[in-house]
Amino acid sequence: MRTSQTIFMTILLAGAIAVAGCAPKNLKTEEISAGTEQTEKKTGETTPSQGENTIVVPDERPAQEQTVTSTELTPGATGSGPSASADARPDYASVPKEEQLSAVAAEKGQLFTVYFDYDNYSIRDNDAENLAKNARWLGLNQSVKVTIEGHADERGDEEYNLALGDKRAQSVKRYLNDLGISPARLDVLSYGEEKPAAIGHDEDAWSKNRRAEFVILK
Amino acid sequence: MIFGKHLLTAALALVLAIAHCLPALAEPKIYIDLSAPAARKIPLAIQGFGYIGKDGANEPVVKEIAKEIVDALRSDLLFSNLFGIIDEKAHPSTLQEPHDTVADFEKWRQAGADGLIKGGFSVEGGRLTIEIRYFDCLSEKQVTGRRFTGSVANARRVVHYFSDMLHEELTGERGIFTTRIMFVSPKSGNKEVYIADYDGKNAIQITRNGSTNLFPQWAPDGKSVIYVSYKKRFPFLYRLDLATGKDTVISSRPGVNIGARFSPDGTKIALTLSGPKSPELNLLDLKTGGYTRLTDNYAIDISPAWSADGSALAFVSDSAGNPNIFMLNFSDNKPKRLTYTGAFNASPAWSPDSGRIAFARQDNGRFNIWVMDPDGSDAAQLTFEGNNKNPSWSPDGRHLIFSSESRGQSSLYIMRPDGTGLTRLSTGIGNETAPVWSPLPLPLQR
Repeated sequence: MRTSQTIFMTILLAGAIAVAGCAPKNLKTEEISAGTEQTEKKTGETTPSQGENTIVVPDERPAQEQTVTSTELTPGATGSGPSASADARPDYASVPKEEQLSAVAAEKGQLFTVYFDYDNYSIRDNDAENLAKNARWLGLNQSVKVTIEGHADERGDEEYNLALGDKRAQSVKRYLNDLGISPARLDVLSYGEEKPAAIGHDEDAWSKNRRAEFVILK
Repeated sequence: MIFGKHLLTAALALVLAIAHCLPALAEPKIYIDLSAPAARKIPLAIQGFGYIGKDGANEPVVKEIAKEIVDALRSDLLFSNLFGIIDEKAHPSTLQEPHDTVADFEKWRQAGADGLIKGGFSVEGGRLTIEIRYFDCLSEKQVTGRRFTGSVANARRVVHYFSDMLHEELTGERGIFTTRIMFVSPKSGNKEVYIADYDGKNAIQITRNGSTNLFPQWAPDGKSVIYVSYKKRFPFLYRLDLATGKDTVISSRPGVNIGARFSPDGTKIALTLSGPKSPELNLLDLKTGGYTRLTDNYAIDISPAWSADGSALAFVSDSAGNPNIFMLNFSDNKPKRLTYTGAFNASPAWSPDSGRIAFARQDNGRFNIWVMDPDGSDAAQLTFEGNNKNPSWSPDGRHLIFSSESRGQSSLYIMRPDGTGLTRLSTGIGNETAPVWSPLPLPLQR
């Protein structure tokens, strides 16, 4: 197993060397030679971009749709600390203070997915209520950080769709921020059209794929 | 018709004869004028390659190599669109013909050949030596001849170098037969980056991280590539050195680090980063690591394409409502709109001489490849079937490669910039997207 892997990596590297196309005197440079493994540095890369804005990302994948059961729900509490800015924004007093969270959201920590119109990134009226519920739940669970994942349907251009997914997720982040949720608790991650929720090539599938999903991080 | 053909042949013979009689006046020797419209194709014969080594003529690999050499020559020369290849059945008996000279030009002319390629090869200790010669049957002269030594594992590659030289000898312009195509495929279960020869052969996988890898681009020297990967969860930009295999992250800002393209001099990268308002175009200075924001608006700005002189970027923006192509000139930094029609305009690519911009335009749910002048005028649709995206120019500007999707499967196609010569590129990998043509590799020293 180990041997075959080494051979495999050697072939890969040899191929990469061939591809590099450094062709000085003659074709002898194209000879496949053994070498070290093709490596990807795991940590501590020195790069031009590394600075205060560099995000340190843990190696393991984030838990998907993790349930949060240990947090006590205190009715009426709208959060505290740095994120308790909801009161300072009377224009966005749309979080219904008296209303109970939906049973599902309270028990399972579900956060509602938000959907978008084609090539659009504004929050639809239909989704305002769900986002308000999400904000309320996040307000009650101050220890929770979430990633907002922005997605696009398969139409359009891949690169553009990745930017569109970013813009959708950023829209949701801003909306929640206006509802008093600290931006520090909201990561944004765009997948563009790479991770469709529904497989299909019609509006039924596309409408399910133009979305922003919440993934709970510890 | 026949008379006309003979007249042309005679005219060409005369030109070639003059070229040979007056070598001093004939430089640079241009046998074929690439700028001439609808130039006549040279009828060419390729004589089978025989084994010319001392030993090893009966090795099983010999037969295979002989076939591979002729196959590669055929596909290179047909791709050049300069030659018509004469069926081997029409060749004169080559029993008396050596591999390095022509015994009887008259016989080859009778077979219809104006040009003749012949040669031989030998294998010694894993090294393949090929001798190839091109003869002009009209002037009865050898035009070019080279001996190549390379790996026995890739006879095709050795032939590509000859094709490059022959192309340059005949046209004054270097061929692109040693260039490569980079693309993305989900074949391994996730999207990884692959590189194949220009003819689709010898495809190898160059990323292998199990994550999603997108939008590869060549460095101007062809020695490294940049690509977007999710291997550290977020869409960061990485650079992979193809010679050493060294892989480094070069842009890891919060949000997206996408749409990256090298400046022609290789010192900067234009890319899209998440901005406070919207994804914006930025310049990353590779020396300092500093960023300069180029756009500042509430629109999506993406897919920058450099002009050859590095003075301007064509890019996509939805600032006018739907995605359109804009031009940003570094002299005034004011984006100027180029497209006014089409529901979705995407992925501009500037031709190597900066004369035309290729892009993808969608009107009725499907994209097609278009070209236009850099001021937005003279737009022409080149494809009419399938869902065609991501055009990329060959370094000589004589071909475009793009991806075409049909029933959920994508494949790569090559055509000339007038839409003719449409050919599917078979890489053996499957479901290929986001093709990018490499720059010319360094030439072999003569």
